[in-house]
Amino acid sequence: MKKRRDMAFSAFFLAPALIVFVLLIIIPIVMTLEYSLTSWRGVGEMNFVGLENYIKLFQDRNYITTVLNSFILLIIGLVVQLSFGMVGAFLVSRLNRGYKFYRSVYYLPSIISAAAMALLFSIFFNADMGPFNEILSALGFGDSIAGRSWLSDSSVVIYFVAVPQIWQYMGQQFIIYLAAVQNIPEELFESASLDGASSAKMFFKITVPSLRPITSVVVILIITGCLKAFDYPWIMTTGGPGYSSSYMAVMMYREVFKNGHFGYGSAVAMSILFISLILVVIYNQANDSLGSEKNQEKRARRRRMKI
Amino acid sequence: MLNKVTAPIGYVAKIGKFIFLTVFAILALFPFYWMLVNSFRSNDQIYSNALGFPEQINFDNFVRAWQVGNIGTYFFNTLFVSVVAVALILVISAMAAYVLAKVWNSKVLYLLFSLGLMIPAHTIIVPLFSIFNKVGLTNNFLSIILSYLAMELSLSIFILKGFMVALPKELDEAATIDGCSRTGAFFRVILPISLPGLATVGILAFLFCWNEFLIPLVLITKSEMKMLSQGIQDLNGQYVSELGVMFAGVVMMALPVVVVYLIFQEQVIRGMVAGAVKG
Repeated sequence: MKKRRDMAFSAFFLAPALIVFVLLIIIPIVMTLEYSLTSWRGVGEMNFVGLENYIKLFQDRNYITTVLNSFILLIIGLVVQLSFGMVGAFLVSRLNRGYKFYRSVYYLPSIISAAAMALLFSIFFNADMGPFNEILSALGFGDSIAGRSWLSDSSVVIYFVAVPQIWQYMGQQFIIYLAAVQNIPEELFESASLDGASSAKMFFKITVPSLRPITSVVVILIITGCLKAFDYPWIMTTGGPGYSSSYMAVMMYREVFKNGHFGYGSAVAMSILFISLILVVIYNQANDSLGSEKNQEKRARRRRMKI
Repeated sequence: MLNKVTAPIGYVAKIGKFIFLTVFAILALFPFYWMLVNSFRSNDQIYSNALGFPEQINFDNFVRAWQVGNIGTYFFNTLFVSVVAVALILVISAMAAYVLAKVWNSKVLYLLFSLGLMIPAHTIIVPLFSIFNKVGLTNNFLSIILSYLAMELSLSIFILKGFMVALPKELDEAATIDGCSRTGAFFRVILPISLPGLATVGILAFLFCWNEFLIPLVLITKSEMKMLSQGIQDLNGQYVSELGVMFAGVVMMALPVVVVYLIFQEQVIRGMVAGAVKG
């Protein structure tokens, strides 16, 4: 009797979440996959074309450009955010004063709208009045450098779109590392400093190895975060000139909502999901084989970590 | 002896540490300083020196952005949508989280919901557009509210389930013995005691709704129904020669979020870390 009442209650309480989730997440994913196998243009008949859209992707130079751009963002993100995250968390966690101040300040940019930040940076890099060029000319660069319009130069524009985004979300990885650093037993640092170890040595011998389990979380966050990037290029350059500052998600948007290629654009959308999954799997494999001996111990430590 | 050798290295390390922390703090804060200062300056002043100080405090840019740039309309649109979406997210995810935490610990459902953590908006945005278009809900706040609800559901259930599992079992047992139905126990006992968890989830959801760009960009095209993130983009197109207005728009979009952050920092950070690590 009681069991049956619990079941009715569970069904009633789960229903709204399940309905929304199935209707607006699960079914749409299946639909995107379905669209990607058609030549649909948003109206009229949906003609099944098999894998044609995916084959076309490999031959589309614009798509290759957007994949490379997404990878540029990813590489900058990994290098900058991992190193700042670890070093920053190590230094801030060992502060006697100012811990809360630095934590608030470093995380602050991450909570602001990317659209608003992107607009700010498009002014900052503006060729005519942007402070970036003013700073360059104050540093003694001539007009050939300090007069360039960075955001309409297809050879460099991607860096001017990528770096601000990496900057904005640096604090996110830092905060995760900071929470993890605090779970490293303090005795490790105490005995190391009694042995006369320098800060640098403590960082490389204690902090970096202890953070390995959390690094795998952070790397996956950076991969998924970078591959879905859209806001910065769309606000700063609308992905141009040409496709030189478009990421994969920008290409998806342009194909579907500007050119009406629902089928082809959906294939781009699915390819982002596939590439993310492939990268995560490759990373996990590499990570596991690297640390296979110590795995047991690391997993145990991860379980003990309470965040 | 040993100390004398390491002492100078200690100082170098200390100075290096200080420089590192300060440089990154300046990098993080500079854009905020820059947008605030320039939002009070006239267009001519910004054009002549984009890094200068304001000569007088001038609110013209804010007035123009609010009225002519439509930021006022967008501000209240965004506020309305965010508040309704957050309320729905809280109620619906708390109900689901309670069942998963205390009544029926279904691994399958938990896995299904955690799938949502890995789905970015752009993989579902095309079908969302055609579904809402078919039922006539594009250019309707309901379509973005439902989309936000779907996007935030997984993370919210995750965090709330983690919170509710830790609640003592005796709590709802006592309530049921006292004659409360399970539903009554949920609303009268569990929800009030879960307030810290709800605060974390609510704030994270609010930040997401306030800042989201792609979903409204696709679902809303009528100019009087746009969200702030779209309004910001329009400022870039229409007011290219009015930089002060653009700065004022950015400030007005960022301000509520910064205020929420300064008040609820602990919850924001705790929620972010919990979501990231469990996801």
